[in-house]
Amino acid sequence: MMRQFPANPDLTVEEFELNMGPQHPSTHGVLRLVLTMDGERVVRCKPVVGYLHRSIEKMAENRTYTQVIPVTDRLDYCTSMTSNYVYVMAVEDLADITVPPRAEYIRVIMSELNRIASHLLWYGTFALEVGATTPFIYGFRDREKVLDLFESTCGARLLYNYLRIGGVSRDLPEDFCERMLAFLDEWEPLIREYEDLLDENPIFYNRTKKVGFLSAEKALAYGVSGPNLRASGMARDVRREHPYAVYPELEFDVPVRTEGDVFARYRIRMEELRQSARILRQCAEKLPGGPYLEPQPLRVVLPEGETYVHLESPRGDIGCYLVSQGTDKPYRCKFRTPSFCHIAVFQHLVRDCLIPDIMAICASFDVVLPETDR
Amino acid sequence: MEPIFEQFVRDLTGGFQVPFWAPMLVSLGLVLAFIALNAMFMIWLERKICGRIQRRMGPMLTGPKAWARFSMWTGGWFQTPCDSVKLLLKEDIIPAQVDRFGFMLAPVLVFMAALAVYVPLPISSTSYAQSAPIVVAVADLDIGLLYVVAITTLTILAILTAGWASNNKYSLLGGMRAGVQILSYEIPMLFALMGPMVLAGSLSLGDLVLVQHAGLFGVPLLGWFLVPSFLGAVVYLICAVAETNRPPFDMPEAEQELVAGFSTEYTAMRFAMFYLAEFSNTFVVCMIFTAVFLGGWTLPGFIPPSSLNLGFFTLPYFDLLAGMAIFFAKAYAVVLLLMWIRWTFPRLRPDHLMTFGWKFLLPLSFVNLLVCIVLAAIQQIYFGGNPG
Repeated sequence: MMRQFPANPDLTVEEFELNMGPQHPSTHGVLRLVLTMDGERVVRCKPVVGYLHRSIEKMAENRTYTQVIPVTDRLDYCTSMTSNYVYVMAVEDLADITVPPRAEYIRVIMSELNRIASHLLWYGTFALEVGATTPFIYGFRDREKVLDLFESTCGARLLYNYLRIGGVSRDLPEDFCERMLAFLDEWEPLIREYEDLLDENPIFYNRTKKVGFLSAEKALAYGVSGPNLRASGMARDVRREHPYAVYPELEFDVPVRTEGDVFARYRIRMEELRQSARILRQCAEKLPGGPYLEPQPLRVVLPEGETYVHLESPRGDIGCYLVSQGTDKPYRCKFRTPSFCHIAVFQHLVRDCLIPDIMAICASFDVVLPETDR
Repeated sequence: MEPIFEQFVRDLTGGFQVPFWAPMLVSLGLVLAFIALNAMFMIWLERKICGRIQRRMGPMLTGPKAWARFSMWTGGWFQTPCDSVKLLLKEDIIPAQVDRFGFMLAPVLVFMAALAVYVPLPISSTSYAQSAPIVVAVADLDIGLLYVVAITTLTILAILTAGWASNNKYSLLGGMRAGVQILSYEIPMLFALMGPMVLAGSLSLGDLVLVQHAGLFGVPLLGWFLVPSFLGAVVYLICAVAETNRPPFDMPEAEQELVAGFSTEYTAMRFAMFYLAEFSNTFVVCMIFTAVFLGGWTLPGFIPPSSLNLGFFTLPYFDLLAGMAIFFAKAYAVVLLLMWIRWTFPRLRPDHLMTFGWKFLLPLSFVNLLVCIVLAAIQQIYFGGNPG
């Protein structure tokens, strides 16, 4: 679109297209944004996804139910545990398998630890997107300790493949709870340190307050979930609304803020770190003995039927729709991933923003591309 | 510089009269060597400071292993020389669609500005074998302060050229951001410097230091313009950071937004020129701050002897060396402050930067100017003449 310069009709101002990504330092993986710009102002933004499509859902159809678990790891590499979890939960729901209580607790511990690891990673990258380098290192430093806990449990630091149909692949190491509590004691005061680095800083405040406002109606219309929805004033949390595992027995708050801007999304995640720590402490206290796995045959054959289960991943409401035709392989395995919805709504928020705001908003949604593309 | 150099050669050779161009060439060589070595040290220091702030150790693997074992501050000494060699050996790529002339001119231009700005910076003074104390600078220009401000503004031309010639949208956006930024920060910066100018009644950087040494209202400690012109010092420091494109004002090359801004398409030595110029400019800013606000090479109430008798040997030019040591110690204190700011702050947004510059810093620098005028008037009426 060309428009004339008011002061001098001979001059025209022209919009131009800026192709941000798929290779760009801050589009979190390989998101491509086709931006129509008027100088530094964004006129239109069109996200292009699909660069990381690995046909995970199709692959699942050609594998036995147990073999699908490592594939779900690759859904969202920042929270493999919850991706594992939603899939095995769907299988167990369809096969009507009861999970031993110890396994349920272990699963909750792992989900919450993974939430901490994921939020710490988010904290680091988010701060990096607004131009602060130091918080990145702080977030990663403490995430390492969570990964150490994972490593001692299942041998892996990123793609865990830990959950099994009917339980978990192996028991917790003997001193796990002590080490976890020691970590929490050491780490919880550090949340204050993270906040000190950003909260009171006027530069950060100006860049995040009233930027990227998402109304509750719009958030619901686009299927936004998790911390992003809670930052818009909706107290929705799958752990609270459709409790699974042992969450009904645990005490925790669902932090809510009403501003719906980047700052609110940041604050929500900081609060969630504290709540996760609180849940972990209760789990360590209540962790029962007994078996950690209800042994299943190598080839699990599910009865005919279909199911949909969902749970609260660090990014939001992740769901798995599983259809069985009575064989040892899923007929259809569809994942509903939160990041996909977040990218969909993201394009409407960056309109009329400046380039730096794109980064702040994109990062504040905690979008993970492999989960979007699947 | 000239009289000292001539005297020095005469002492050394027993009366040899140097040709008129020799001091210039020697100064050029000294400044070039200083830029290169100092930038190397600053980059190393920056990485160590950054590491300290981020609870890491920074570069540790290059250099003598025995030193690295001692502490984090003794490790990785060879990192920047190795990096420089790497940059020298990299392939020099000129993309096909760029404006070749502008593309090749920009790094030279930016380096030229970085080099020229050293001319009036006074690093010390000496009275050894001189009839009167002489300020040590390449040339202590009468309009030194104005010259410095004018030359540093040249950088904007180079960056705009680089951004435009690169034929890359990120480069262009980066170049434009740099242009806007430097233009709007130049003005509060100049007004901030006008305070000391009024107090000293001179534009020569050497005079500024001498006036500070003399003190205000007859009190030596008040003399450092940091005290009477405190607001000016703050405004100047902020503007100076903005002008050298250092974080948190690094919008022109904001990695997360514009990849590498105006230097996106540059490789090898051309890129190194930008990098070197940036570090050199950072240090220049600290040197100007030292000279204008921190009393330059002087300490209140301390006048070093022109030569030091060590018993077996008389060290000539002792006041020159002591002055340099004081000057660089102060300059590096400012460098450390800038590094501290860099690694703790998020980046500003361009429009916030403009708002901050025009609506906050500019009025503040006016207030500072007013305060300085009042102080200078009091000095004039009750203590006679300029503070000096």
